[in-house]
Amino acid sequence: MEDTEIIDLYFARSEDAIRETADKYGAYLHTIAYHILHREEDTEEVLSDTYLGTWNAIPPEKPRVLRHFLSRITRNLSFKRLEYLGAACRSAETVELLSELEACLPDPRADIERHLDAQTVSQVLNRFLGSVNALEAAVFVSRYYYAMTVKDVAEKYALPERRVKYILKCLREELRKRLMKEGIGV
Amino acid sequence: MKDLINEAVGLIDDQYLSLTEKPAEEILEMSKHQKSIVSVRKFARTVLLAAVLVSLLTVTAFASGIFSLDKRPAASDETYTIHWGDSEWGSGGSITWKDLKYVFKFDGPDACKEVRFKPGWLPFEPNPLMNSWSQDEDGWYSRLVSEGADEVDSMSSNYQPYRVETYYASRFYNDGAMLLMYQTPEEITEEQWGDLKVLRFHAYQDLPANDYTEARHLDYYFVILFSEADGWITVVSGTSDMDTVAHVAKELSFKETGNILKSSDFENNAVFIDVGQG
Repeated sequence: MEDTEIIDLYFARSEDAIRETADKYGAYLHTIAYHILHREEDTEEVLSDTYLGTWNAIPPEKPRVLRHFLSRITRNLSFKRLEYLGAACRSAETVELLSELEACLPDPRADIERHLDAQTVSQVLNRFLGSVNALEAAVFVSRYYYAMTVKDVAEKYALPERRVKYILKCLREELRKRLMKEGIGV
Repeated sequence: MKDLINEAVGLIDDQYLSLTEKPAEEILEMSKHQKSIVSVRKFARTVLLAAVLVSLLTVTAFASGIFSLDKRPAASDETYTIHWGDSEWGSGGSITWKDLKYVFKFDGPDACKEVRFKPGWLPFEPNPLMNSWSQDEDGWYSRLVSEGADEVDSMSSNYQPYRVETYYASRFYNDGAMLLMYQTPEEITEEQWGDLKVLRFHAYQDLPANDYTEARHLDYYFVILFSEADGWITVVSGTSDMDTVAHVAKELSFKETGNILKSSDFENNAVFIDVGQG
């Protein structure tokens, strides 16, 4: 079924919307949640919450790209679930991922939450991704949005793992500089 | 802060999320015609620390191996065996190091660019006799140590105010390691100085009392400069203080010799970096 038809089902408040969403995107969303949680039971719960969240959000939301709209909800809920589960339940892979992300920040100790919101930071991030090449942007998104392992990213783009690590390191450093330049965390 | 950046990543535009859905070949093809921050960095790579820049000898077609460092306290049963051959000093043998304090492991190809260094600042001049063998005709060092400014220093616990030594990840290629055998590091902080990863830490050693001296607590300071691109590791350490050791480190300049060092160029795959030892 086309995405527009699925969205129409949500607008019509037809419960078939959820079934169609699960049929078409269930595996994709499962992969995202599992990359973050590494626990089947929690992954399934996040998926159920994703469908519920989507049901509540559409309408009034009308996603431009349903696939990405769903992925944002799944990713967000997965990290919330991770927070709820506590440090003991986090996989080493996810801990490393979050620690890499933290390294992008000019000064991780700075208390800037009060002054900034994620929207502002994401604007800088999106401009940053627009300034790097397609491979670099794809590697960044694969690793930090989709929480793929370095090994999986390397396989996906037929690159040595070492090369992927190097690209990510350069991207983090460059993003850090960009955030500083934009006055974030300075 | 971590949550903020993670949340921001969750708001990445659809156009960038879509990139990951394209076939890898298409992404690679697209990238050929676009500016890469990675290749720009590689092209502009220098091995410079502070203000003094020494031009690199050659930019060769050396495969840009990427090295990584892993550090951890030594396992209680972890050992490294060192062998040496017959020499004018005696016959060959081996020794197994155990009861280690800390381990630095390196990952990367079995090929590192050899570098030499020159100090831009030292708290006092090194003893020329002690360092002549490690200095080339142009004054570049492979190793530089000081045993103190005067005899009082050399007789006290403050017996090695600074020391600079360079190691290579390829030396540790076959499951080797750079070790702290006696000195226990406290918190190790990581920084980035240009293209170099920098580890800084204070280490200590508690010596028990004996017939001649009271129990002593000794402090040591380390700044480790690690080239993730070329695999060399320069350890600046000493008994003076962190500011002095860091100052020495910051003012170092480096040049490549043009030699490539492989694991087979080294007699052993482990070395200890404790100050005042060895």
